[in-house]
Amino acid sequence: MKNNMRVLAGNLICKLKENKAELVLDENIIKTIGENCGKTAFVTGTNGTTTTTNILNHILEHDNSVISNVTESNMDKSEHKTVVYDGCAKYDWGIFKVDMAAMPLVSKLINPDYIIVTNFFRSQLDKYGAEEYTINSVHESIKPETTLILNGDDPSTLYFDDLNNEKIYYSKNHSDFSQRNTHVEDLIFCPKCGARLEYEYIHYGNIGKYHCPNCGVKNPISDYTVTDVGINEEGKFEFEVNKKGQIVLNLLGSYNLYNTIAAISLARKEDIDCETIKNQIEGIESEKGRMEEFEINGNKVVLSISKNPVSLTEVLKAATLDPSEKSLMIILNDSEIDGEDISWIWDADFSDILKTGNIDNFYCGGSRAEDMAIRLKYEDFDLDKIKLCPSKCSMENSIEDLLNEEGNNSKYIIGTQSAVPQARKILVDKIGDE
Amino acid sequence: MELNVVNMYSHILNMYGDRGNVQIIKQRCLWRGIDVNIQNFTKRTSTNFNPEETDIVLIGGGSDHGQSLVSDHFLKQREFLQEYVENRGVVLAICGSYQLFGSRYIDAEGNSIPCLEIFDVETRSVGKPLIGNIVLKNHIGLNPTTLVGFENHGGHTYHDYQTLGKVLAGNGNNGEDCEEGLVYKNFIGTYLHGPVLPKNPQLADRLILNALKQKYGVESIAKLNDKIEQMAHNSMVNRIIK
Repeated sequence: MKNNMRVLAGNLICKLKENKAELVLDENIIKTIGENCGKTAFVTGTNGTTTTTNILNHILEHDNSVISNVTESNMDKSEHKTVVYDGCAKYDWGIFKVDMAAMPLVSKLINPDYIIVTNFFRSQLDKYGAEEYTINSVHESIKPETTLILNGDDPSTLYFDDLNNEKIYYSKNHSDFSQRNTHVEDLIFCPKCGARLEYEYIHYGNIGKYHCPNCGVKNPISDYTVTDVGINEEGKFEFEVNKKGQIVLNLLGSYNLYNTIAAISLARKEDIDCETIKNQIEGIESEKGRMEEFEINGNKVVLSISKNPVSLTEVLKAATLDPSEKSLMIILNDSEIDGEDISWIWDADFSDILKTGNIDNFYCGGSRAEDMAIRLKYEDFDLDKIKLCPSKCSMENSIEDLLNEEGNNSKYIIGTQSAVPQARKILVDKIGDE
Repeated sequence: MELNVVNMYSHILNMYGDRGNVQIIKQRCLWRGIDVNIQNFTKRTSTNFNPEETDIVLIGGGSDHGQSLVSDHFLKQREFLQEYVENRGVVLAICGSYQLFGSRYIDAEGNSIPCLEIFDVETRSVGKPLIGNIVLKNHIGLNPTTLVGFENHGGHTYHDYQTLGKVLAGNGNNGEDCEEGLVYKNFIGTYLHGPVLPKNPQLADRLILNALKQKYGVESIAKLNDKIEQMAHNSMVNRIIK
């Protein structure tokens, strides 16, 4: 039974303000939502929580009624929406994206059957503080009866070793996209003894196959593993899970393989058959504002959100892998929801993208456009190719300049949290005009 | 000419884009034809900090956890760092490391965290964290006179040394006396990150010039085209002050 009565909300459960998590909804409403669900799952972590929640929705809604606070309409308006909820309705599943900082608050109201943790990276330090605080927030929220679905390739997962909960680990095998080293180094010290971890390979950030040369800890044995990753003729990722049956993923960015295997892990634990999982995943289209592709004036336009060093590095990596001539735009805003501290741009890795040789121009827009332009300048990127759209310029005009540029057929627009919905509206209106 | 820049505990204390400060010093030297040798000083460095072979020290803030990881190793460098500072070695210490050059750090639980004790500076973790954009009017003769950055610190710092600047907007050392940072000889400690040097190239050039003065007796350095940097600087000054 497919049920479209999903909660129309962005971060229904909470918002962050002045370093404090606040409930958007009345506690009783959240409790009632939880009570009206047969089973519930939380998805939390730094990056990939929206995508993972959406993939899980896609898989589960094949045979279940699902209520969730992340929907495909998520990018249409603000991330903090009003909830439209039928208090009498019953759902087989409640799938909730829960902000890391809000986990203690929300866990008091809903007792989830599962918690999926995507990863922990440094993000929006002025709002969240250092990673240790967010890991601690999640750790303290976990009740003994909840099954944990953890990223076995993220060393932060070791912080949960002391819990006796049932644990399911997911991971990704070495592939052509794995690296030996990384420029972005969050949490590279052993959670057990503090020594610097050593890596056999890294997929992104500090996620990969690691071991501690001092105390010997290493990746836990994985229950569900992405294997045999390749790219098909259409440029889509294809992969297997535990070397069984090929699945094609319509989402760009190799980090989405982790979001996918996280969702698959829960589905397999719930005994959803592999064929259903495959079909549901292959039916997923690119997400709004997350490596979403448009075709405008015969050109490919890719829109993606980025809000911390690891996510920006990965989006730039995806653009680097695109062999076509291209121009890029980064829209860097510093509103409350973006994070007022923009120091993180210096920790993203621009080295590969700026060396590719197939970039015509790099536009810098948003309320901190000038900071982004400095960032590129000090990578010694050609000054003539840095197109500064000063903070006072309109986003419409800046995007128009990018779209009207001739000589290339790929355009990438990367924006922070508040920038992407605005940029998306401009692109959608543009398609409408056509 | 060549400068040896020591980037201290960069993998652990790089929290607020401190890598950017290193990048600014490096590029502004290279654009002037000054060679730069960046040395990462880490816990795994087998030798102690060498004041004789160092021209600029850059050291970031880091989290409480990060500071605890380097603390033992850092404290062992005390006499070498003190010799370097007293001999007018150039240092830019941000946030947590600025605090650690002081004499006392009292954490939220009242515990005293070991410090280098090079300066008579006390930091107390009291009250709410001081977070947000900050603008100073500098006290060290830089032009433009304003310095811009972002601060995020739980510690409130008190001392009687010269400060880096008067706070025009934001909190600074302690949110009470409208002063920010500490300047002693060629040592600068500050809560400004952002990172601080990209939007304050005049401060970056001060560090470079002081290092060249010490090493080669140089009295001036070539001007660079800082149009973008000044736009970024002015944009924040206009936004925050007005």
